[in-house]
Amino acid sequence: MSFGEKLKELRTKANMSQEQLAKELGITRRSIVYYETARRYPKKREILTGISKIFGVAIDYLVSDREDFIVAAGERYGASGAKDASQLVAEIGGLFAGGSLNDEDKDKVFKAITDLYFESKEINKKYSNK
Amino acid sequence: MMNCEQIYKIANQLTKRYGTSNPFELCTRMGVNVRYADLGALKGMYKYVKRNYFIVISNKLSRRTQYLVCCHELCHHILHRDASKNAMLWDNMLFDKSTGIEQEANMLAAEILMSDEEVCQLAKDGKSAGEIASILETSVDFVKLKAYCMKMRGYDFKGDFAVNPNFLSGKI
Repeated sequence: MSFGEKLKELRTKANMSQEQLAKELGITRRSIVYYETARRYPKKREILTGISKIFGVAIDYLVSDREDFIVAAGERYGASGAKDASQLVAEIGGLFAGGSLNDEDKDKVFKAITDLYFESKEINKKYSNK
Repeated sequence: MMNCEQIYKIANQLTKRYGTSNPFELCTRMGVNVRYADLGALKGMYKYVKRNYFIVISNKLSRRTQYLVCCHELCHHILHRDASKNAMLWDNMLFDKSTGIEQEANMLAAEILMSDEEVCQLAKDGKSAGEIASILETSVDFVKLKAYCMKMRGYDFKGDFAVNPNFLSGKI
């Protein structure tokens, strides 16, 4: 299940409306709609923390490490960061299609590549003229 | 797929231009970032991320093996830079043996790591591929590949320099 699907499931099981959940988290109902329809990930990790507290689940449960990476990139670098990260995750998914790595190794390689992403952004920052 | 003459030429131009055959130095000079990480069973990888080139080498290998892996990945940078930027295509190409890109990278690496002269001399001295590998601090597979390339370019080797076909099709 994706993050959005899990969120919807948790929310409906708790008999909570999107409006109520949004209010508790201090965000708009539209954001909840976007999360549940997989249109967007939370902009800040603290929203994930909020959700995990409300429903009593671990953040690990809510988001896969891939999704967590997208949220982290988004928090650090905004919408374009989240977009880059999503793209990278899609690429990495393709990378494993060859199937010669076991799951544990895939996670290690994934981590190595996400580290490259963050490092790359820092390297580029040094050379930007902002 | 490139032929041995073309690959030899590239190796020569490279070492001449940068004055070194040390892959780590070449990476620095060519602007490729080298990093180390736990990659599980994977020995190394080459990736372009947000306008920066990276080679990631497994931190579980001996320093000498890391040297060889660095050279192999650098050869992908030299030969296959553009192909590597299309991530989906790249990984399929690596796995699809008929594209020959792993073989090309290995051949170029062999040509960079060893000179014709030193291999010739050692072979004349009667050293086996294994002994040459030991002396030149490389792998037997690379020595055999180097010998194969030299044969294609007209050298005459006798005896035990048959190349292991598995080595040609896989990563080192």
